[in-house]
Amino acid sequence: MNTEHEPYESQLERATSADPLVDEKLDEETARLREGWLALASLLEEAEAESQEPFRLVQKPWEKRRSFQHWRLVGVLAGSVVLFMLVCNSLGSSPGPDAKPSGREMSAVEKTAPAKVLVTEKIQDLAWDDALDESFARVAYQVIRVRHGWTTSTMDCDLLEFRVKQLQNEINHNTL
Amino acid sequence: MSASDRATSDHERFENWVRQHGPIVRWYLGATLGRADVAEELTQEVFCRAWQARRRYREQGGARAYLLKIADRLMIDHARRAGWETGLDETGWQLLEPAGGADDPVRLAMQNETREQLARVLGELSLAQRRVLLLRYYGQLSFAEIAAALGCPLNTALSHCRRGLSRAREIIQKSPQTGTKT
Repeated sequence: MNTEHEPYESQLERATSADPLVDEKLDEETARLREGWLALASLLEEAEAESQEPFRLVQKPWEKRRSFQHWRLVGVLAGSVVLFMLVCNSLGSSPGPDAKPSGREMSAVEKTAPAKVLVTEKIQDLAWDDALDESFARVAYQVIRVRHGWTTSTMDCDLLEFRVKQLQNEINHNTL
Repeated sequence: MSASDRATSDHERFENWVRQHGPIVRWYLGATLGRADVAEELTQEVFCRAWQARRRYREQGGARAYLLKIADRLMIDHARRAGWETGLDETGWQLLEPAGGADDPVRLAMQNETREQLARVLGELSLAQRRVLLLRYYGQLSFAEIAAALGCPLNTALSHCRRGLSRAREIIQKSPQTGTKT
């Protein structure tokens, strides 16, 4: 254990002691240090005594904490209100079970099979989300339309082909 | 002890601390940093920290030393953040304590002299020397506690103290008001 510092520590403890009796038995070196300490202490004491302004806390810590809790509560309430409004909004804008498609979709529904109605309902479901989902929905709708057109055209061709074959048969069998 | 009794006891103890030690903590910070506005701000922070840590505090009659250690740590954090080590100037000291009895010119002059001299002495010491001497003076901390607060070996803290005392003595002896102050 290092005890090298002990004499110095003891010397400085005596030099900076608050006990006035220490002054009586000091060696020269310690007395010099003591003199510096007393001079500094005297200055600090005088400066302190001249200004008696009490210290006041701007805000007590427990009040600060309450204030923080208050704001946290306000935040939670505000968040709840916003969430509630969003939910109400989404419920109001989404189609109900009796909601009818409009415009072009309506005509599509009237003209074609129930599968088409399912497709438009899916598009409606996607449409109330955000802009990206809306774009996806539009692209998907266009894809379905093109496919539908293609299928319809193919069916028309098949029908025409069928009618040509039937006509050819009738010619062959002299039944025309 | 019920929760409300404990809360009341905490509040009372804390208000006593503010009343008894608040000015000393502010003085310590002001004397170390030489900035009244920062000292005031940091003193508020010291008591906030002490309040937050009140459950960990063990009452052993060392409240002032405890608060001064918090103050010292906050002061060093602040100085590191701000990137400066201030010298004390006259304006700083005038800001530190608004002059009481401003209607008495003699008293005001004496106050200014004391502050100027104190500013000169502390301004000549390094930050480490100021910290050691002021922690010893205000908190009556042992040198081992001071070394722990400074985060340095005991020998280094002792060396700062010795050099600080020698320097303070030299400056005060050179000062024209020496006879009246010591």
